[in-house]
Amino acid sequence: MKNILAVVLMFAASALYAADGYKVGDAARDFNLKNIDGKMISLKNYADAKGVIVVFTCNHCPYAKAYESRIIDLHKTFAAKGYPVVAINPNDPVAYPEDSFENMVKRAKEKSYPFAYVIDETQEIAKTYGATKTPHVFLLKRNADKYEVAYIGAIDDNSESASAVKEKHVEKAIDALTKGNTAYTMTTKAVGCSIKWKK
Amino acid sequence: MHVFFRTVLITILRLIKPCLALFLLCPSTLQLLYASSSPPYPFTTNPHITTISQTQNPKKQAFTTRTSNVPLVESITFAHLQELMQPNPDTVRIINFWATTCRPCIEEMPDFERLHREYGTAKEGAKPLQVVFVSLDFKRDVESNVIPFVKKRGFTARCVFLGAPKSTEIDAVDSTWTGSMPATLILGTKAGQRMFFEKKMHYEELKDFVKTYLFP
Repeated sequence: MKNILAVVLMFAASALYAADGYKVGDAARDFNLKNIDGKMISLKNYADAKGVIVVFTCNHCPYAKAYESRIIDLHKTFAAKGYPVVAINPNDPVAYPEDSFENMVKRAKEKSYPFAYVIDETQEIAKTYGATKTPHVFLLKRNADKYEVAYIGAIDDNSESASAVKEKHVEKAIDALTKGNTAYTMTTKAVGCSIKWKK
Repeated sequence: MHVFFRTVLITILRLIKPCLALFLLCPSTLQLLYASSSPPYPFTTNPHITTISQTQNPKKQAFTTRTSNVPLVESITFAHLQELMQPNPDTVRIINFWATTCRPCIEEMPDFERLHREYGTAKEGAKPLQVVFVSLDFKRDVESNVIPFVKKRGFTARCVFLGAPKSTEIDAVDSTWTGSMPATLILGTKAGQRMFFEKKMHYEELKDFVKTYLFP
């Protein structure tokens, strides 16, 4: 009986997780999270932008590390075109001390992050957005004071090597948005490190 | 029947979602669920491994319990993985996606290996269970990290290297997989017997799921 109960509960848990999170076209909620400079950042800070490239990422994950310079390049290319990057670290620093706020500040200084790198201490934003891994991109399109999810997924199609990339997904999605073209596949998948949820 | 049961269950769950979420998150519930789970399987002190490595040619290590002409970590293509994901009438199969850089993966692997050892040979009229560890590490890390890790752990379960899968390949494994690791696919001997989990698993729950296919 206990076994059956466990199986039922596991299905229940997986069904609950699967039901959560944004899909392309959903309205994205705003947040108010602490940046590495100590100031609070919300989507209201980007009221002049056309959209925001929200990247759930962290310090410790090798996939996040592999994409670090590509995330910097994304911001350098697209902030001027109206799509700045906001990097959000959702990981529990108790489980992974490398992902603590202090280490975020340190890492951002070392690599001179040109974008906001904020901490999602309650993990509420990652949960609401439906982020499951790092890196995990949610491209948001601004309509007046509302934001809509325009693309979810990977930055490009090769996590191991930037030079072997064939499809630059985020670039293509922004390009499609700019041209008012919705033909581009708006969801992609890539492997990454699972978000370390608080226990 | 199974699909019907699950659909009904999910509908009920959506209705009672808030209560259930609270219940599931309640520490005492978790404690109850995992109360009977065993401590991690002690690989390093496993007498089985020591015995083999001592009695065999010292050049041949314990991990060669598999036939020696098969490489320790065989590189496979996605097409090959798809063959492994087909239901096999003779074997219940667990396909576990992992990487050496993924801590929860490494933590759960002993539980998979333990099941592989316990149910690897058919017992009590059940089909045998086969565990396959599929490494999604970067290609550059195979020689330096993946092979030494597999050697050190002395896995008897089959270990293969796939590398980082493409977006369409992640979808082909399971449409619900978002790409995080660890991830596990459990395949029964009949078409449609298939479960997918995008989370760290424990011995007891794995055994419960596998048993529904081993002893239907």
